[in-house]
Amino acid sequence: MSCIANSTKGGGGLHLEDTELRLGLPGTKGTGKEFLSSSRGSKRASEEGDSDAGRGDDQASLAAKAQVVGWPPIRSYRRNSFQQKKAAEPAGGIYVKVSMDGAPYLRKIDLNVYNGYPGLLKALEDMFKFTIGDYSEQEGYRGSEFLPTYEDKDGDLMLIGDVPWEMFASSCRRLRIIRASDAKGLGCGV
Amino acid sequence: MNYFPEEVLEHIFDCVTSHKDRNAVSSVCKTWYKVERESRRRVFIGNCYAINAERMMARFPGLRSLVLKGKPHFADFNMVPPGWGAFVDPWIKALAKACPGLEELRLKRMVVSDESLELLSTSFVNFKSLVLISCEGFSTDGLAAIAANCRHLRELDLQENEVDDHKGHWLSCFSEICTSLESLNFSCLKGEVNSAALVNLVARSPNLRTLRLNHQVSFDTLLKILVNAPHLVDLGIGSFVRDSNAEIYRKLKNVLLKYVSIRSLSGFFNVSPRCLPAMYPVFMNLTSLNLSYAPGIHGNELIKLIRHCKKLQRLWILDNVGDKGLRVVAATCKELEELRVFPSHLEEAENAAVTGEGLVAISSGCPKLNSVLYFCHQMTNAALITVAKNCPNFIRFRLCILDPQKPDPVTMESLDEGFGAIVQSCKRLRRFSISGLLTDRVFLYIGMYAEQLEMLSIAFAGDTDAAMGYVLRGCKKLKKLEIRDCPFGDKALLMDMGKYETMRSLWMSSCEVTLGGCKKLARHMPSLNVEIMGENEMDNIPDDETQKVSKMFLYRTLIGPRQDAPDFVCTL
Repeated sequence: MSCIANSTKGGGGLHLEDTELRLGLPGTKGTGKEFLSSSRGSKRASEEGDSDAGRGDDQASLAAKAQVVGWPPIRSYRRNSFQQKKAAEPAGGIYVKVSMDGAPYLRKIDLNVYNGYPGLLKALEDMFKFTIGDYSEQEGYRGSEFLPTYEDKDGDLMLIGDVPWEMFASSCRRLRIIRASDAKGLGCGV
Repeated sequence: MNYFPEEVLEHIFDCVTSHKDRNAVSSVCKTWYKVERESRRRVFIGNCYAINAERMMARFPGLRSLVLKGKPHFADFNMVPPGWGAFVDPWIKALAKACPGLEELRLKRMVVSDESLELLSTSFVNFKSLVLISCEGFSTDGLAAIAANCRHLRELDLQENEVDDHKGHWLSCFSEICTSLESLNFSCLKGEVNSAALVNLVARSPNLRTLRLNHQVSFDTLLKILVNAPHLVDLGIGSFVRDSNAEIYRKLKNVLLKYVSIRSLSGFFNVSPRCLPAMYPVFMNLTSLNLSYAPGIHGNELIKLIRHCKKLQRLWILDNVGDKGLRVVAATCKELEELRVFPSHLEEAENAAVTGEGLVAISSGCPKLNSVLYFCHQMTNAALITVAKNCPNFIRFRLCILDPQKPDPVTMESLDEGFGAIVQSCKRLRRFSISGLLTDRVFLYIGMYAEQLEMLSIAFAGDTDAAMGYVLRGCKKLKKLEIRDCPFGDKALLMDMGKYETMRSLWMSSCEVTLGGCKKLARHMPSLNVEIMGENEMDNIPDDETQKVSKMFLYRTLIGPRQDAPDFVCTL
């Protein structure tokens, strides 16, 4: 079966053979004819001469397959929403300093480890041995001596929990756990 | 028949609602044609280049509701370069002049500009419903115009569009006196909306039954909305985070106890699964559930949730549900009619999330199943044959094996027999997509058995031109055929040229068709537009007639070659 994107571009002469998308097994050249005829009743992997043309097990062939345009047939909208999710988990961590009023030294945590506020707040509680109060949009945190806040990229001190998690994670520069009594009007009902 | 006064005919035709039936009615005789066209309120145009607005309105002066479809289906998968066409602007301009009574517009795969939306919003006093599916070219500014100017708007439904989000205030543009909203879906928007405006809008819309939020709408806003909209039938949840708070959890539970009417749920973009149990009473009444954008719900939480969904008729889910999860679906969802399983990862080919076994389980557990879209890494003939035996009622069957040309992993054979079993068993099959290793044989089966088939999608399949011939000759009701990366050439293309006049369109890309073959077809069939295009915007159209054409799209039309084709498209 000669199912390759050898369909030529016009007189443009762009010579894109090196980068052209091909649909045979990676490492095969020419038509897939030998590829198909050899597949009848026999394992494919043994037919190919090239080193990395296996049956989809190694990274190179996986990557090549992933590059076939328009395949798998998923709407771009859905495909983009995957990529956003992947992009939202960068390989490096988002390490931020955490300070607590009265504590002699600071800590650092990786915001990427937490999927959302609950995990983060629990981790802070464990790390500094205190409890965070109950959150409400109107009143902030009630019922604790301490408030979880953060400094955003504008340098403003913000209460943790008001904005969606991704927005928080991307704008947070450092965390501060402050005494509620020091915070006037930030949102504390003690 | 000729003695019936026209009023009586019109009254009878009011009961004839489907487009197919009305089209049939209109070709009986001149009188019927006349009465039908004057009384037609809803028009469906499957290809916006098959006819133009002026002729459409000349025939249907009483038009109130229009459905328009634009780009070829494969445009959804990035196979059509930008600028190809399908602009709605000329349609709206023409309608604005000649059809001021327009009430509904539904567009799919079209290019919609902000200017078009603005013109739309100011030209039709009674405009009620705008549905945009897989469209592009507009921003939230256009939506602001719709919100501000369409005082009687009932429905604004945005499905999977690429919208330029200016993070503005479009939602706040709904007039205070606009209380007619029944359906609002902005789940595909990326930017924030003003929470207060949203809550207010919901509060003053007593008829609101469908509300689908985007991921920016916080959980707290959701709670406020729910309190104000107890009659919602269809809810798309944005964010579902924040669970460590027992009070919030209790509030949610209380609110949901009043929610006896919700039948459809979707969204869950950011999910904190521990809040899900509060929703179990809602899941028990659901007939439709879309979790395909909710990778955060998986594993045991997903399975627990599914066990509550005993009335489900439609389920869209990710493949991380696994065969295990599908077995739970099969055991629980006895009313299931439609299942779609989407891939959650595009790269890791060997993470066998779902396989043929999952599909077999569903087929034996769900007797009402008639529509399937299934992405998997491998499939066996045995599984397909079993599925075919269990489910003779398929109307739509789309199977995508992620690895192109993958054979049956057990027997190493092609999947001809498996897919053949499906067409043989499912006499009512209208839509079919096939994948995996396939020879000419499967096409022979399709031509022989798929008598009701209207749409067929083929990729990386077949050996010779004969294959395409089987389909063209055998499938009498074929409307849309789309083929990519198959070894079909001019012989196949030219085998039955008259056939294409009975179809809406044919797409062939990366096949063996040459420029000469396409030209010949175009010469013989003046009623078709045969368009060829390069791989991308920069390509030149080949001069050499023996050169293979990378993309060909042909369609029947009443208005000749289109005038808005970009440089990389050539109508032969």
